[in-house]
Amino acid sequence: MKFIESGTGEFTLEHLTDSEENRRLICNFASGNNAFGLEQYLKDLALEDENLWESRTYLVKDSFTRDLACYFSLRTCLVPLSIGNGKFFTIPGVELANFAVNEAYRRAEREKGRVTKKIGAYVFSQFILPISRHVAEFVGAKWLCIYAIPEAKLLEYYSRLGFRRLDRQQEDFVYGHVKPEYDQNCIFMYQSIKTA
Amino acid sequence: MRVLTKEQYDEIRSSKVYQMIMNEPPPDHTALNRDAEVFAKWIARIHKKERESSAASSMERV
Repeated sequence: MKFIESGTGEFTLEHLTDSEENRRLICNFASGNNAFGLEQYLKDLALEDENLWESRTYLVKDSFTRDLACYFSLRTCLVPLSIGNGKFFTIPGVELANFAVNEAYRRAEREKGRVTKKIGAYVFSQFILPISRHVAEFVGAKWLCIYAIPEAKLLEYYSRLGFRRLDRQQEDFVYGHVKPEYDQNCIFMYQSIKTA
Repeated sequence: MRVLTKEQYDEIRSSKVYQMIMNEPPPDHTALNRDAEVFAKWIARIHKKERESSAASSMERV
């Protein structure tokens, strides 16, 4: 990790492929309710995506225990927006393709009497936003995007992270053009990478 | 290479959706920053305790 700080003191950030230890750590990753796909991606698909340069997966590790606290994957994306009469343009961006806290880490912390609430906000603010901003310094990338699982609590959570939705017509246009089948029912959300 | 004419460029820039994007306020990170800060302070405190307790137990072993 040469382009950003590789940690905050309390957590370190590593690519999935940085070490053999990382490959072992992901075996113990457990996702929360209704998010088995995120666990499955990390265990079965992330490495292949890395090898194909289609996505980069990052592990956030507790710098004291060395446990895997959460992971996220980033890739580039293009968002088509309609200007009417069958015409459209595209907004370039970075897609937060996967983002999940390790329930096994949460559980271990709970057993020590500790509740790891808000770790997602911390990781988003300390790692995901800085990487996206850094990418945008070198390659045109206006938005940070996600396809959110359509659960009210999750959508509210992503709003809290700064994401918003397009209007219905533009949302449908995005779905009609770039939303793959595996993202069926997921809701497109975005936020500007540059805030100033 | 992609060739975008001035007319096409203007058509996009003057569209309703593009104007909407350009006039949007930046993302509101107030809640995010607050949550991240709460967690940062909490985990720093926890790790400090753990480091101290780990150092103490190594001293005992010595």
